[in-house]
Amino acid sequence: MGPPGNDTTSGGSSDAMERVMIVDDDLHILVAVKTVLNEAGFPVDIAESGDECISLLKAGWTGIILLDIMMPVMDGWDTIHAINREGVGGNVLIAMLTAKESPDRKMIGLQEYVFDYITKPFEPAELVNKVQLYSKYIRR
Amino acid sequence: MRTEDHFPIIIIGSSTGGPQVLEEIFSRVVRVPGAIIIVQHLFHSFVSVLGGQIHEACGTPVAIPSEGESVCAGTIYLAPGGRHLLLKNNRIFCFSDTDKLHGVRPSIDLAMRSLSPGQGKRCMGILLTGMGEDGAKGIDHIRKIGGVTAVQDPLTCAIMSMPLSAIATGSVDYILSPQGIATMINTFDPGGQQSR
Amino acid sequence: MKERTVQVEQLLRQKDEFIAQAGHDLKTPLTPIIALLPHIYKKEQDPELRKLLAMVMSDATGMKHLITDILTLAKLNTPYTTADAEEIVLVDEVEKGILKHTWMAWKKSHSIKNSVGPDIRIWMTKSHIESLFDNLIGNAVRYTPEGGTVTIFSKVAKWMTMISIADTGIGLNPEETIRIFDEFYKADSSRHERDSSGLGLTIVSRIVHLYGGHIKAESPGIGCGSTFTVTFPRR
Repeated sequence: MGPPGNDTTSGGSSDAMERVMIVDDDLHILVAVKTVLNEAGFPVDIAESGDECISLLKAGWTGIILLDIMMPVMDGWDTIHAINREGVGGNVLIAMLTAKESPDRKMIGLQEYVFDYITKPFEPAELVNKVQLYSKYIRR
Repeated sequence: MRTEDHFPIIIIGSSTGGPQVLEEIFSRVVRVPGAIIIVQHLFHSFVSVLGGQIHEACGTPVAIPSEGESVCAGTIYLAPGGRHLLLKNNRIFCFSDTDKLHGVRPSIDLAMRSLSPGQGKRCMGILLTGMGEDGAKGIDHIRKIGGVTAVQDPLTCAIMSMPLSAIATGSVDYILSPQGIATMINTFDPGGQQSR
Repeated sequence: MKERTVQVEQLLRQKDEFIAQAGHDLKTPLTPIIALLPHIYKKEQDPELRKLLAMVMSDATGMKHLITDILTLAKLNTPYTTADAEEIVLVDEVEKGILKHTWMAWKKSHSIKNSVGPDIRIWMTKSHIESLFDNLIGNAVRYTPEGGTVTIFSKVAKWMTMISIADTGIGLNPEETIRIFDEFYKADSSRHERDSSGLGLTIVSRIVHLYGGHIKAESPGIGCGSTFTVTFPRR
């Protein structure tokens, strides 16, 4: 089973739902999050690594990023550092979505960039509620 | 000095996971005893939105203070991003661009520790969800000058470390759910009889 | 000697890393299961299939609790986890434990009494004492029918501190009072609630042994309530 495709960009209207990017190296997590959020009306784009996330951001992507921590090569924290270095974090809201019960010291210095911290496994209704809350902050 | 000048100050410190909890708390706040100052570790572009959300939740407007502004009773303040917020003589806002503390700026510790002993029992320190240790020393300081301290129940937090670090100082009076924190704010009356 | 200490510390660190990795690896496949079952349930019209899905969803939740408890147990095996131990005011910790189960107790019209003396202190880490009361008070509430009472009291003797949790619940037979601390043992078929992992009392007894104490369960018989008593040596 290959990775799910990204949702095509809809025209920007004031009642369009905010875009969500799920960044995780696990295919099944990508499918699960995309299914749950699509069902709630959110367009979802996927990135299988920190690098793919940065590429999307450099191409102008804005919205809500759900970011895994434990990924090979570039973990969640490395990804946030890269977002800051590349200067592409101006219009994104970042929430960690991770199996790690609590973050380690690598998060120090990044607190202001992490809006929320959701642990896996998550209840789907809880994830939808949170993304709806984040939407209020990212909407201009 | 008039009695209005002795109004209490409540400082709420909050980090990752905070905005949701702040909305929940303020949706139940019906009274603003003195001045409430919120220090939330937050990306700067979200600060004014957070202010708007808190305003919507409780009906009281939220001000983002500037250098030299006076602290006024009955007002909710939200620290702007990127600078340390400090109080001078417990009544004037000042800002500082010194190094980040615990990796953050504004730092909750610096804000709480800028309260001078003159504020005595007329202050409250509240620490919500977040990673790291910012706010632990601040809570300890507020307790030592005679104020009341509370942390969000770690089990209701997105990240527990900040409340846990504060609890470890031994200076936490109450461990409360967000609803409990709202009740504490609503009933805070350090001058008179406080219903606990 | 110093080299051995370094070796042991390294082994313990490796064990912690293993536990963290194992936790991550167990929780990862569970995530899409918990995330997607409600979605499938919602779309499924067939009532027979819905019943099966509901059953599977409760199994998934049980797995989630089981994984959490196993990870807790694994962490408790590490000798140096008592390093953060501190002096704790017992009555406050009991109060916190009661608070966690207030809702269930209210639903079952239970009365919970905290009769622990205000100046009794105990030496433990906060997370250990929290696990202790969460499990003991939780069990008392869970296995006591409507309108029952749970009482927590303590006694200090010269060399030890005793804490007891007494309930007016379904009680235990003599064999159960011993076996109840075994891993995954659940006393009888009426106790098979899927949301409890069967590890709670094992965790409690490991914590108690970590601090050099012991735990015992007593009951006049089935239907006559139980009392769990933990005893710790005084520092």
